[in-house]
Amino acid sequence: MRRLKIRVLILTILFIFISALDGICEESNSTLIKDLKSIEEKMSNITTLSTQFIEEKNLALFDQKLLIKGSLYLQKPSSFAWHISSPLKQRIILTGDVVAQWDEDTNQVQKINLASNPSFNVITNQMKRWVSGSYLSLIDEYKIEIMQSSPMKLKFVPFENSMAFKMIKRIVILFQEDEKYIDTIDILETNGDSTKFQFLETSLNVNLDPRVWKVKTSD
Amino acid sequence: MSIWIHGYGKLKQVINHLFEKVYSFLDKKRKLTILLVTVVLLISVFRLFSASFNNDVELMLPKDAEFSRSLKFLRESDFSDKIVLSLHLKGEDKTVADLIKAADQLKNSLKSPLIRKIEEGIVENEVLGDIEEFLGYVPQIVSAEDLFAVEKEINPKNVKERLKQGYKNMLSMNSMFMKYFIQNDPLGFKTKYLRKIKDLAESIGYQAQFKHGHFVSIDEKNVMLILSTSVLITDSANARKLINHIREQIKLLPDYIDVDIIGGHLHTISNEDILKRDISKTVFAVTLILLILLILVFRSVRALLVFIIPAAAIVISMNIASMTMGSLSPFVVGLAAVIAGITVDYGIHIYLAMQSGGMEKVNKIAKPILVGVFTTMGVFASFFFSSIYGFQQFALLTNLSIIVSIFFYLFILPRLFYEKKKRIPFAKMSFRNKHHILGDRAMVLLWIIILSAFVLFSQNSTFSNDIRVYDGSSKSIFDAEERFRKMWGANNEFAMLVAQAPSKEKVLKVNEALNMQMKKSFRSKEFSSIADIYPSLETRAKNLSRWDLFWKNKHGEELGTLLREQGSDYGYSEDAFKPFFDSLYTSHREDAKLQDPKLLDRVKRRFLQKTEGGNYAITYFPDKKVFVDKAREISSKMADAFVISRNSMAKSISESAGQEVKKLSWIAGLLIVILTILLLKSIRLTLLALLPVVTSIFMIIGGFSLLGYSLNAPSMIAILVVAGLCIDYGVFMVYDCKFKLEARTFLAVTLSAATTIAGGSVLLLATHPVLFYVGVTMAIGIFSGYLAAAFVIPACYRLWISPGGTR
Repeated sequence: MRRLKIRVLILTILFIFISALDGICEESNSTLIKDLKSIEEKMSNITTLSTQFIEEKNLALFDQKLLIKGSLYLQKPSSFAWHISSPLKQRIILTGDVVAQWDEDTNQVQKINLASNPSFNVITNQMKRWVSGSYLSLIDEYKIEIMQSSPMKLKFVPFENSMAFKMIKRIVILFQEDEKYIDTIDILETNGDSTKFQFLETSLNVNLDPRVWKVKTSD
Repeated sequence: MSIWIHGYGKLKQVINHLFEKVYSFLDKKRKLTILLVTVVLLISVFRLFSASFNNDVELMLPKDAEFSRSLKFLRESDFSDKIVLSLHLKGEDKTVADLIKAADQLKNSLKSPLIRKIEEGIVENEVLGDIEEFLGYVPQIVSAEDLFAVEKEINPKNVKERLKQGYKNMLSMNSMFMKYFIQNDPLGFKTKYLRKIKDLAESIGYQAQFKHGHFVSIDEKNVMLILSTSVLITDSANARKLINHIREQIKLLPDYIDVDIIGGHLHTISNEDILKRDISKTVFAVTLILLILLILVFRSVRALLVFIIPAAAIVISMNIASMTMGSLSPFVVGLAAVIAGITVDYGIHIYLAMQSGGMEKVNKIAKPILVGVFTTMGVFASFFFSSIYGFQQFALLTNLSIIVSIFFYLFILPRLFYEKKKRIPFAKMSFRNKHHILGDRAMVLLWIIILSAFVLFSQNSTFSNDIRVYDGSSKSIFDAEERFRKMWGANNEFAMLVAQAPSKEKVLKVNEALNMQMKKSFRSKEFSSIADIYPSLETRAKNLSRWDLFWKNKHGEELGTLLREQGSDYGYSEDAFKPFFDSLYTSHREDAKLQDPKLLDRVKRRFLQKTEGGNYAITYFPDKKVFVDKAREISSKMADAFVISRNSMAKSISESAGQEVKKLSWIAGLLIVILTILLLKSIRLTLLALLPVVTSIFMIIGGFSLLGYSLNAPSMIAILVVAGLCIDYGVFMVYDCKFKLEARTFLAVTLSAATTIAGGSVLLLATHPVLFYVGVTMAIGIFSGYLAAAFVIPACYRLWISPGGTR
């Protein structure tokens, strides 16, 4: 009889403990969602974005680091431009469902319809999400952790069932001091390769020069 | 000739004698007769419950080996067992994650014994692994020709160009994805086969991306679930259960989700529902007409028997027909039941004759009734000449129904009404032919003018072979299919070149041979075959040996040197292409040889089928005549191959059915004329009796032209029915004019026509196209045929045959 009482007591304590733990987890999850929502809200005020970037790639494929410089433009709802100025001039312009690509080497414009190229669609969608702060929609694909709150630093680890799992080990996003925009995006791949984006001279909600949407620099 | 007349006179005597004998027997054994009839009827009804029906569409198609083979393949393969659910996100504030959540909810709730499998997509993180496995498999599918092309690409200029492209890719946004391919396939030898899979999937499938293991549309507003079911498209009862189950589960989804159900099963149910609704409307209208007739004209509940007899006749006939011809087609039974209903006209004649003068009058009109019966039977007997087994069943069933009906009407009905002291009640209505409203000449002239006008209109008539006329599915189903096509970019307009063999290895070999022929006749973008990426094991083994030999010889070393030399210009590391060289020399492994890569599973399902009939490999190409003809030429040279083209199959089925109906029309027309001449024994009387038939046919054809409709197979069959009815009106009116039957013939013809027109007119409200066209044909044909019989025949008779007559 006494043994039974002890068992009931232990089970009750366990139950209370598990419930409390569950509550703590829920609370932490809700805090995360709240923070991500807050980022999204801040970023949702951005109608246009213009920023320079330096991309540093450490790839096993090359003997040395690849240093890429360029600029990025975003105009909501669906225009996105990716210009590379060095080491080779390259442009990718996304307008609606059409992607136009150009580089100075071939001087040819290649147009891709996203509807007929789902893999490219995935890439551009992901990129748009990273740079536009739509992180709440990534909650099903990544385990998101707040590494520091001021300035905000987020860590994204892909879930096992997500497409990124085999390629990406983790992504860390650090916001600028004023938290108006991203400072760096740091990507570590599963094979040890890494890529770091640093955003500089960021301007928000400014009138963008129409020429940024031209795919050829000579246009 | 005199022998013939003598023989005919003898036969007539025998028939008269037989009739007297039967009448006398039935008079004496009245109660026994009624008991016997009741027993036969009860047995027939009881047997009907255990009767099996044959829903096979093949029963209604002309006999053709190619149709049979194509239908067998389509029936056995898993093309027809799919139901697609397209979930659409309505709410602007909702994301693709909400949509996927709803799809998962639906998938989990759909579990049912009627659903074999639910496909929702593929797990993305497995894709990269699958690609890796596929690239390892590529050496097995590189042909000698491809290897020759590879050899040509191993040169400093090309290698430099490829490495530069690789470097540029590393600068771009999608570098992370591209890196794998540069390391594993720097010159793109293997990647081009990956593109072939993509092309194959896109050529016949849907434009979709994969997200969390789901098929998601490019705009991320739609998710697709593909259900495989064990329910056959023709199994309407289970199809209904299945669709209802799906609809119930859809109702449980959140408000922001809309679901379109796409599948052949919906057409089955919708057609059945629409037909039922249309038939209910018709039954209601016919019942109403019957009630009016009972109240106003017959004034007797017993007169109900006149209308019950055709139903009893079809029940008995169905039993006899199924005993002789096996399982009947439900379509044939339905159509024959309608025809049997038409025999009510004979009942009306006999009932009115009894009203006006008892058995004496019945005996008087028996002959014209029998003339009408034989000519009508002649029309339907023409269906015995059809190569369509269903039509042959129709011929037997209609003729049996007419025989049984007429037996009941002539021998049983008068016995049931016979009461010595009591006259049969009837309405005291005077319903005479008011021919004097218009003079006979004016009447004939008016008829000639109207008929000539319609003959002119009929010159513009067209005949449509469009098989879609048989599909009366509701608009919402077609709308959903259109939405689906727009949303997912599904391309279903393809024909198939099918290779057939008892084993998988053999069918793959036949497929390789077909692929070689296709390459000679078609451009590469004009067809999709799996042969290039999934050849037979024998070919794969040969390819692998060749590949190993190729790289071991000198090319491996040569390429390694070139990559090192040219790569240094772009900063490629020493080990940059190690994964490529590692896979190059391990492709001879036994496990790689025997296993099929997982990545092919998705496309294999569409290109390879295994059924009870054997193994099939399918090559797809656009379903256009020019391509179908080319493919037929290829298949004609190979015993193990055949072409399936939905368009050309539909067209040739329609054409065959059209030709069949046209052939039957000629036979029926000839039989009507010959039988009428034989039975009336006068060319002039025959011409008069045929007048309503000719009038109705031209009125229908001209009327269709005026209304802007094309004639089609259902309307042609309806024309035959109209002809069968109109010849009866003609025969009755001719007999009435010649023999002055005084059996209320004009009233009987008018009532018969009125009931048929009313029944036919109700079909004008039908939603189902087949019923609608039958309704238009019946309404125009019977109305014009009746007018010609009731007004033009007496006028012509008086002017042409009996100018001095008073009637």
